[in-house]
Amino acid sequence: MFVLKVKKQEEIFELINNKKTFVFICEGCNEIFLYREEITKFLDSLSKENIIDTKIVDYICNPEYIKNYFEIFKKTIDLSDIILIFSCGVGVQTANKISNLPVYTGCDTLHIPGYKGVETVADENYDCILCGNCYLNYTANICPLTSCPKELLNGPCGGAKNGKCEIDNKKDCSWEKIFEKLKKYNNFEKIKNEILTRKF
Amino acid sequence: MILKDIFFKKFVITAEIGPPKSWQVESLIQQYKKYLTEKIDAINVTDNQASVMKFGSLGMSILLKQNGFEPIYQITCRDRNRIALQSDILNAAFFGIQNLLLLTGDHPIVGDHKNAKPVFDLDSVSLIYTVKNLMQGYDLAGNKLSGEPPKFCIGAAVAPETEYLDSQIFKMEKKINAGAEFFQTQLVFNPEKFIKFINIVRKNFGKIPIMAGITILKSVNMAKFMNENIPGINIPESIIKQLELDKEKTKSGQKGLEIAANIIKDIKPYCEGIHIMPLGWINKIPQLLSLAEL
Ligand code: SF4
Ligand code: SF4
Repeated sequence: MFVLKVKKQEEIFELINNKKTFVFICEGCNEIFLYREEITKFLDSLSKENIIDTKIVDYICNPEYIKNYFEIFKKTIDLSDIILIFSCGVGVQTANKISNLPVYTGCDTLHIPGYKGVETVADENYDCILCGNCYLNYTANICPLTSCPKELLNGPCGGAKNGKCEIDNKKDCSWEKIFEKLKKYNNFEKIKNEILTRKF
Repeated sequence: MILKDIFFKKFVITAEIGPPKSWQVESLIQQYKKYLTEKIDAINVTDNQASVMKFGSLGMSILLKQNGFEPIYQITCRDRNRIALQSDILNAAFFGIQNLLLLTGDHPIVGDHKNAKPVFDLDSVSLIYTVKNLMQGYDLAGNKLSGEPPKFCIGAAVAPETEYLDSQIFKMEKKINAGAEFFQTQLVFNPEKFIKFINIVRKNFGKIPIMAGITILKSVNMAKFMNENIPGINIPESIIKQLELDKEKTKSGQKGLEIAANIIKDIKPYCEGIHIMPLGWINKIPQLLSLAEL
């Protein structure tokens, strides 16, 4: 599931800056976490002259699809000065490649937790940054890279308080959880005997 | 002087200083000469402590060394990757720095440059292991150093009064296996808990030098703040009551000194030294040491 955040309204206002704007909202990934209401409300707050057209589309990250969209919506795109896109960073980059108009993004891509392609609705609590050297066998299947803000591989930083992470007290300390799990299964050997380092 | 030469021969005393947010640090040396000479074996220099940008710990350690002090150069993994860390450590060796305290470090988000990139390429354990390799003549990638390997005494940190003692002991073991030669602890306020910790350490790891963290409490608010915000710290109600009793004595520092001196006396037979974190009150260190009969 992608998690996207709509940028601050002032920021988008500044980007548009009274230019005639064509808006794409991408809803290709059906597991996408996109603030549709926030976008609609924001667009409604703009003057009608500013927004030439708004289209909700699928998979603008697909080069073929986005090419088609530019053809299908040619009439209104040609009347516009800029393209504003609400999608993940990949979609924006793909659209940018073929657009003759300046492209702006209205979103921040926060993360793609557990993203397994468009067919799967993955558990948003698990994330993988595809580090290429999976440590899950050492860490009781809790990913230390995506769940610990310091990305620690060799044990907790010692900063947890009441089970919560020292960086973010709304989240559990993943290393204390790892430790509990390892304790439960008495499975310390592997992590105790090896000093782990990242392979970038 | 390398610390491993004096552990078990004397009760080792170290004190911590934090460099200022300035490049004009020379005037501080006079202050250190006044308060940190007698009885202090070595001075820890913090590395942009609490992720607040300051004068660097390497430069300050060199300056201390040049002025006749024995620095303990603190290094965190927050700001530098493994190349920069190893390179800085070679620099330290050239300037005669022999004692290191190797830490993971705080996250930038707690400091004054919240948008900084948190590096954490290595962590405390792998940094200790890296220095151990350097001491054997190899860098972390296994390349041979030319010339003689550097000589260091590797220090590490541990929190003896944490609510998660098991995972602390686990990490301590990893640090010892990686090459840690002594430990400086988080602040100690409960001698009983500390002694319990020491017993576990002796049972599991034998004679590894442990230096107990000591501070001088300045106020009730400071104590409460630390309890709420600083991990691994546990100031008991009895100490807070003592601070409340005589506001004047607390404000002047007298009460804080008495509390700290009593803690030192209680734990002295169980550890190899103390590490004083004066949090701005370095002028009170001589008084603390005489009150504690050191
Ligand atoms: S350690 Fe974490 S980021 Fe790396 S492959 Fe495994 S789950 Fe993914
Ligand atoms: S408190 Fe736990 S999760 Fe948070 S940075 Fe430290 S080890 Fe990682």
